[in-house]
Amino acid sequence: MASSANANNMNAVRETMDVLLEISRLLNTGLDMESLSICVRLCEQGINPEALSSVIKELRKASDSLKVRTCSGDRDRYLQNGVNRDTIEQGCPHF
Amino acid sequence: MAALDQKSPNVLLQSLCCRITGKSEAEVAHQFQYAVRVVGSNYAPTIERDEFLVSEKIKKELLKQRREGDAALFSELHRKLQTQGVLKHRWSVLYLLLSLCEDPRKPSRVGSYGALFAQALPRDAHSTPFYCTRPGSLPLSYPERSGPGGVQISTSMGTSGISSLGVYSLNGPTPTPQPLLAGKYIFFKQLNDEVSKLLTGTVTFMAFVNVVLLFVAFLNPSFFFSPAEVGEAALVRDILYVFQGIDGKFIKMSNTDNCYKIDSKVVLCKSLRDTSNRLAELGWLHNKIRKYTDSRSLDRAFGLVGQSFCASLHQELKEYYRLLAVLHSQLQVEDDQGVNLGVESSLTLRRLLVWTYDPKVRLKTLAALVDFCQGRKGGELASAVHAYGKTGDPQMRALVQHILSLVSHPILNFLYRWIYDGELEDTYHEFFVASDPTVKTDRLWHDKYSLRKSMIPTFITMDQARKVLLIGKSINFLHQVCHDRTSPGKITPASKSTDSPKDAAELLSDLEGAFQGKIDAAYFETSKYLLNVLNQNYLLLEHLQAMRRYLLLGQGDFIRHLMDLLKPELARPATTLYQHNLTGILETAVRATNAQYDNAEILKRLDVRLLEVSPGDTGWDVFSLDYHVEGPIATVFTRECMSHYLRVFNFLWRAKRMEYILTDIWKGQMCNAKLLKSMPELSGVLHQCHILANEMVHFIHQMQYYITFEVLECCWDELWNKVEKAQDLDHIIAAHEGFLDSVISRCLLDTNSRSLLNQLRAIFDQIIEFQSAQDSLYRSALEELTLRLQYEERKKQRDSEGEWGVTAEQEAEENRRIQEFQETIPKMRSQLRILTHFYQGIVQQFLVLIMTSPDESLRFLSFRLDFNEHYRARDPRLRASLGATRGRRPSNI
Repeated sequence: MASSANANNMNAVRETMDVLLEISRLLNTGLDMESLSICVRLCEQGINPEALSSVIKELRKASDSLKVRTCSGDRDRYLQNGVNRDTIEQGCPHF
Repeated sequence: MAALDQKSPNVLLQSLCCRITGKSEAEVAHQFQYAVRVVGSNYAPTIERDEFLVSEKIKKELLKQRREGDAALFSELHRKLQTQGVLKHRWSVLYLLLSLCEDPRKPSRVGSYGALFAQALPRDAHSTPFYCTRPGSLPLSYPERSGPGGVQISTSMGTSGISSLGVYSLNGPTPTPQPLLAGKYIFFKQLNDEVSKLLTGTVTFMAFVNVVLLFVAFLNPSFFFSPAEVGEAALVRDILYVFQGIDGKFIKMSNTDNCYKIDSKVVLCKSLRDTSNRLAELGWLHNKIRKYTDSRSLDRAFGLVGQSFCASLHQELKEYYRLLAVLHSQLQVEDDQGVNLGVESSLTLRRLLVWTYDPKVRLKTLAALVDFCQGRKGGELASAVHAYGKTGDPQMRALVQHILSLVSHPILNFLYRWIYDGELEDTYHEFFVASDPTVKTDRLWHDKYSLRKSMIPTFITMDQARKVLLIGKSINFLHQVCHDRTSPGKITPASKSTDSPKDAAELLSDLEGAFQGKIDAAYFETSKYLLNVLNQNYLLLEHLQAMRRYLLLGQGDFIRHLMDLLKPELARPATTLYQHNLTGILETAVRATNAQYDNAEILKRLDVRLLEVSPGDTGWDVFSLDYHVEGPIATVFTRECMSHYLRVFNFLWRAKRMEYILTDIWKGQMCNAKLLKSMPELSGVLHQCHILANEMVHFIHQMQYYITFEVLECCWDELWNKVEKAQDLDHIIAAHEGFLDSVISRCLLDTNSRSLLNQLRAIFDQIIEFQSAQDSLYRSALEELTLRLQYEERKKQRDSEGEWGVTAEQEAEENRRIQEFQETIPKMRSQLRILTHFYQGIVQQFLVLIMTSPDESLRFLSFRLDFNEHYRARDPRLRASLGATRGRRPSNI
């Protein structure tokens, strides 16, 4: 009984997640399944969605800038270390 | 749900960070820290936890992106979600998704925010001691407010304002204009920063652009804050305050000059100064009106008319305030959006001049009205406002008419109430009909209601005002005196009274027609009803006629019979008379003559009155008839009227008595003439008597004719005509009083003819004397006659008996007696002569007096009295005066 209930629950959960993923795709949020599930879990635990969304935005920005920085920083380091430019251009995808 | 609850929030957050940034746990420590802080500080959501709202927002967002199909899809999915019921906090998930929503059309702003984190992060990285601690121990659920992170973000936002401006100018899209004026201080700081940056080296294109832009902003004219000269905008703001009567920064009310003056310390160019002065006048006018309305609203005794005047002023001021509010909002809009509105639509003094021109004219009119109406109230106030309506300017006229209609509304209400209900509720004495509460009902008609002339508005004529007074008076009279309780609604089919000022306005515009018509209709109906009531219920006209018949000796047979019956009674001294005796005689007379067929109402009012007794009076002097009046009749036959009537009665009664006496004399003369034929010595005396008697008879005849026909009948005819044609009670009263006045003046009873009256009285006295003289003459003559007859009888008898007829002594005695008798004759003769002379003298004097009287009928009387110029021959005075003036109008003597 419990297992069937559990199975039912699992089904329901999966369906809900599917729906949410669909919505998130509609809204073009850029969240993949994993992040979405984490977000949903956080929300269910009572986190303020405003705060969470601002965090996610910042994280995204940070990740972008970090990528830029690491790319340019890497380039400098590589330059300082005398690495060949060609190697760098091959190595940093976001250049 | 078990699967979802496994991990704590911190762990989840960390994994989220890893996921999004794509780094390992150690590398995202900093971001994780930041995330924890943010989530911890913003614990409670600021938005409404309404799932419906969020879903609607999402749909709107989708629709904004022109993705209707997607919106429908979303609705489907949302419904599915709701039916599944797995999630507890659906709204928060949806909200999260909404806030993460990105418009695919918008360009990515990733690059522009690069600077933000780049600056913040290094600082943070060095200052935090919790750099390497595990995320699990960090507090997440404490509601921390305004962590340092928050402040940092705002300042960084502030500093990035300019840079972002620079970036925007590079990128191209039109930015929304920043509120430059608000951040003046920050401007200067940033200008400083940017310039220093420029100078210290890192000359980037962005920094240079920033500096240029700042300078441009700085050079903007509205940005100037020079303490030396006042700008137009500041003046405009001040003026708007002044319009409401509040002192502005530069323009203040100067009490000494009673005007608005610009502070002399302020530097202002001449044109602006002049324009502001002109505009400030509006504030002055406003103050004036406001002062008046405020002071009047405190005045409790101001009355309804005054209150409606203040209300109308208030209304006008409200319109004015509305204009000011519009101007103010215009100014507000400018403030909010800075100067980028452009010069075309900003508020300048010139614009204000144009827009406030009309209100200025209106306020001027109102202020002039206020001045004129100072200290007036009630009808006076309405007159004042009406006077102002006589102007050629149609705008002003319309305004004043409007105010007039409001102001006269209470007055018209009063008026309608008065003429339709007869009620007067005027606590502040504003209406032009005044009621005197001390007057009792018997004087209601004459004294209780009067016109307050000062309160009659000028648009109501005197005639209308009098009619109005009369109508209300009649209604009250009916109610109180006639005890007629018919409701006034039945008397006049009252049209509805003015319920609204609109009706008042309509009425005022047509004062000649509708208003007059209303008043006239009410007047006719009410008066007609009143007269009906008086005539039918109270027999007014019958009483009038009864007065004529009894008090004015109209009923001849009754009067004659009464006199016959009263003669023996009244010959006695006055003190011996008893009223009840006389009343009894009166009753007898009434029953015996035609008077018995009169109305019982009338007969019961007839009575005898004994006047005041002075010593030596006979009954004739104190006797009088009386007529009792009460109730509504007493309004017409007032106490004064009754006293007039009694005086006239007295006079007429006396004249009648003279006639009566002379009739007796004549009778006696006729009878005794034959008898005394045998005494030839008396013939001279008797002749004299006859002549005198004839003169007197002639005189009295003419007087009676004059009184009866020229005076009484004519006046009565006039009175009757007027009474028949009378439209209201006032007419009747006036006609009646006129009648009495003319009767009195013609009967020589008024003060002018006192001398005439005295003469007449003297004549009457002479007649009485003559009567007594004649009586004594006749008595002695008759005595003598009887004695002689007796003597003759005895002689005859003795003859028949065969004796001597008369003895010598008898004869001698007889002769002696006759001699004695004959000696008395000259005495009698002289007495009569004196009497005659005296009488004729008086008559001549009388004639002289009436010749010169202003009354035409008296002059005609003199004609008749002296028709054969008998008196003229006797008296040289008369000759002169009669000859001079006979047939011509007398000159003023």
